[in-house]
Formats: sequence, structure tokens, C-alpha cells
Amino acid sequence: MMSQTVNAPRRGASVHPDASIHPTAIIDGEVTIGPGTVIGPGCMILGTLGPVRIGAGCTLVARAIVNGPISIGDGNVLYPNACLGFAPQDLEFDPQSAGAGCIIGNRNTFREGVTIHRGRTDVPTRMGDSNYWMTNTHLGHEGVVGNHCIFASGCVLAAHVVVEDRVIIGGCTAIHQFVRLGRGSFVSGAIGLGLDLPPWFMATGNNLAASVNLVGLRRSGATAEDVHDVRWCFKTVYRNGGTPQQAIPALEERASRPAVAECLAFIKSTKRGICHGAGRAARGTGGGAAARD
Amino acid sequence: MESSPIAAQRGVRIHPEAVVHADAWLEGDVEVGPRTRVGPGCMLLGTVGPVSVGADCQLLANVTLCGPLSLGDGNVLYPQVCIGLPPQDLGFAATTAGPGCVVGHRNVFREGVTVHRGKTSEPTRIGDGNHWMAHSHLGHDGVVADGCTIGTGSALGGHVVIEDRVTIGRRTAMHQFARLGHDSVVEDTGAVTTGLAPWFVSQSINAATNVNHAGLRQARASAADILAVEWVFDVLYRSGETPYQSLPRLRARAGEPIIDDYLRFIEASPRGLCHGSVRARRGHLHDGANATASADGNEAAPGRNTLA
Repeated sequence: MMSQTVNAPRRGASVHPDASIHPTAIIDGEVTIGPGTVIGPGCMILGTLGPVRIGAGCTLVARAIVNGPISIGDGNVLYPNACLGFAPQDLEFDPQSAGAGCIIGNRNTFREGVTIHRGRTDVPTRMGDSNYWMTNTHLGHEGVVGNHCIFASGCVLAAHVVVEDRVIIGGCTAIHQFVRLGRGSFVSGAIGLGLDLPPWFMATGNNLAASVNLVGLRRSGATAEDVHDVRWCFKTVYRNGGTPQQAIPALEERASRPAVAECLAFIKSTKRGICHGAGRAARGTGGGAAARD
Repeated sequence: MESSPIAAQRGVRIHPEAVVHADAWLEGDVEVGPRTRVGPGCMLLGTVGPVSVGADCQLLANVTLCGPLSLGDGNVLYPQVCIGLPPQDLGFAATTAGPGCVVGHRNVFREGVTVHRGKTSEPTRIGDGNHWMAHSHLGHDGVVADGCTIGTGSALGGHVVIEDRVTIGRRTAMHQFARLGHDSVVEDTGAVTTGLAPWFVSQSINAATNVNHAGLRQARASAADILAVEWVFDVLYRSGETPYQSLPRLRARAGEPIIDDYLRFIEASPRGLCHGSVRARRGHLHDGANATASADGNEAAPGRNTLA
């Protein structure tokens, strides 16, 4: 048994001399590994379906699995059982076809059991830099994630979601296909979102934006004017006596302010609709709260 | 099965009665006790800190253990279980050993369970006879006592404290520093961000809905004890006051073991207590006052449930 795993086949692999590959790791197919990268015991780098490119200074702690086509930047850390680049969870998709693959930025951390699926057709699954994926989190095919996001243990992001920068999602939360989470928004744990969440808003129940992410604003170094504008947007969107879309004219009047313009552009471009405010009956929360007004 | 030449290298101590599969990888300061079976693909990494596996354990396949870790006797670890990897803390350097993990005896860890090692001075601790269902997670510095069941996909944050015989449903999230009293139940897809007192049942987010009558029956509690638990639940959640407003009524009965147990839990809970099911849940049912509070961004309102 051992003779099969030690000194595994490295057909077509291009490993930088400064990279360290554990003898029990398996590297197969078109694989490029950059300087300073450490591939730990039991890892599998599979470039048979499409090319795998791993940048400099990455650490694959143990038994992480990477499947091409995929491009992984510098300084990423993969823990055991993290699986990057396997086929989309789509009944129509032939798992033998390469598809568009994944593009991963720099300094991301993938904890135990994280799964990132590759793109289905011509759009890859993409993420930026410095995201932290805690244990057993999931990103579906063609998802797009920005920078500095944190995904707490067990949260699942379905296909085609768009997550902008600095978003934090709580544990065991589920995000529906095609949902967008605006910059700096916060989603609490153990809930589900099927509607879009505007920038800096905070979701505390199913499809329910009940607050503003003031802590995130402060951490991002927002000015007092920005904080004021975000809170003004929140009140305007949810306390105008109508739907969030009906707040667009009021937002347009103050669109010269950057925070208002960001919120306005987000609401105008939503495809699935915007989360409800606390004043309106929230579908699926089971609260039975009657609509106000 | 036989011990592989790679497994027997560098500081690895395997008891002669242990069975280690040839495809397992053992490295660094690793000790495997008698009659323990280490299956194919398992990795016992004692390079950061020592890994000690007791007697009669079964590591079925593809299990990852990382030191410092002490695993007691008779534990069963299914494939993809990872115990002792570094905390999910942005400020923690993964090469730091820290105080590690201490796991007791006869626990079952189903597929994909993850337990992280401690960050502060105390290790992550798991007692005896707990059942961790598939993909459940315990964060750094968590303390879990004995006889608990943690449902599939549940995630327990850092520093949680879980007392004896707690049952947690499927896909339930627990906030950092939250507490569950002994014999409490958290129902499926719920969340606890505060504290759930002993013998209580919670649903949804922080809503204590009932008393764990099944648990009381199983524990063969006396009629007087059951009445005392029900009385505490009524005082805390059905008196029209907040739990902390009704504390003096509990204190008036201090000295009775059940009441003292509740006072001990309430006073030790750093994040307050769950609210009752009749109270407006933050962000769900609401009244005018709540709506105003959330519009002002006072979403956490930490003062509402504190002992002060």
C-alpha cells in the first residue's frame, strides 16, 4: 500500500524547488506550485481535468483536496478535508467536464471541510483576498465573494450568490441562490436569506433587516457622516410606509452622498428584492406579526 | 494490518496491542494506547504538541488529530473527524501550541466533526459519553460535560459551556460564551446566544418555551423537584416580568437544591438568559418600543439582560 502513495505520480507537474511536498501527498496532471508553498501529508492536487495553479507561500495542512481548473493565489491556508474545485451541485452538469473552474485570491483561510465548487459554464467561481471560511462552510458554483469576509461555521452559500467586501455571516445560516449581500452587511446565525441585503445593513431574522452594522462601520473606519448616511438610508428604506423600492425617489434626492449612492445603486440593481424591515410582516419567520400601517 | 515503517518513526510510541493501518501517518510526539485501532488515511500530528490516544479507541479512517491533545479510552472517531486543529481566531498563529484539547472517554464523533484546541490558558474540554453527530463543531476553549448529544451540523462557538446531558438539535448555532444548563434541550435549527437554564427547552432564537419533562421523567425526578422546575419556569417566563426582574422571587426560596441550582446558573451566565416564548423576539415580533430601538441601531441591547 505504502509504495503506491509515497512518491506518487507527478506527471506534468511543475513544482518550484522551494516548495515542500510531503511524501504521502498526491500530485497528478497539470499542476503548478509556487515557491514556499507547503503541501502536507495526504493532500491531493488533481490537475487531470483542468490546470491547478497554486501560488507562493500557501499551506495545505493535511489531506486538503484541490481539483482543477483552479487558480489559487499566494498565502492561502487549507485545512484537512477542505475540497476546492469539485463539480457544481447541479443535476444537469456532467462532472467529467471542466467548466470554468475557480479563481481564488490571496491569504484566504479554508478550515476543515470547506467546499468550494467550480463554475458551471463560462463564469468561474471567484473570491478575493483575506476571507476566512470556518469549518464546513460552502460556496456554490459561480459564487462571487469579495475581500475580508468571514463565514462562521456551518453557513452555506448557494450558487450564484454575490458577497461584497467585509461581509460577516453567522453560523449555520443559509443563503439562497442569486442573493446579493452588500458591502459590510452582517447576517446573524441560524437564519436563512432569500432576498438581498443592502450595504451595511444587518439581518437578524429570516429575510429581515432589523438594524445597521454599526460595529462593522466603525471597524472599517467610516466617517461620522457615512454612519449618519447609512442610518438615514435604513430609516428611509424601511420607515417610508411602503416597500423598499418606494424609497428610491427619496434616496435619489441625496444621491450626492457616497453612502446613499451605494445603497441606492444596490436597491436599484436588485433582482430578488430587498430584505424586509422589522415593521413589516416577514415571510417565513412564523412570527405572525401583522403589517404595520 | 501492520504498522507501517513511516508510522513508526520519530517519537511515535505505539502500544504493541494497538493496530495501526499501513496508510496511516503518525508524526512527532504521538502515543497510541492498547487495543486502539488507527484506520487507513488517519493522521496523528504530534509536531506542534503531543498527541495521546488512550486504550480501546477506534479511529475508523481519515481522522486527523493534532496536538496538544489527550484523547481518553473507548472513543470512536468516524472518517473526516478533526480534533485539535488551531482556533478559528484571526489573531491566533496556527503554529502556536496553546493549551490544546482534553477529551474524556467513550465519546462518539461522527463524520466530519471538528473540535478546535484552546486559545487561552485552559484547554478545550469534552467529558465522557458524548455523541457528536455528523459535521457538528466545537470552537476553541469550549467546555462540554458528560452525556450530551449534539445534532448533525450544529456549530458551537468559542468559549461555550455545556453542562451534563444536554441535547442539541440539528443545525443549531451557539454564540461565543453562550451557556446551556444541564439537561436542557435546544430544538432543531435554533440558536442560543445567551444562556438556557437547566431543564429548559428552547426553540428558534433564544426562546425558552417549555420544561424538559421527558428528561425529568428519564432522570426519575421526584414530584417535588418537577414542581420546583415548573415553578422556576413560570416565575422567569410567565410572570409578565423579565427574567431578571423576577430574580428576587427565586432568591426568596434559596436553600432548596433545585432553586440554588438555578441561581448558580443565572449568576454564572455571562451573556444573560433566554427570554420566554411569549415575549417579542428581537427583530421578529415587535412593538413600537422595539422598532424604535432597532432603528436607532441598539441591536444588541446588552444591558437588557444583565444582572446589574
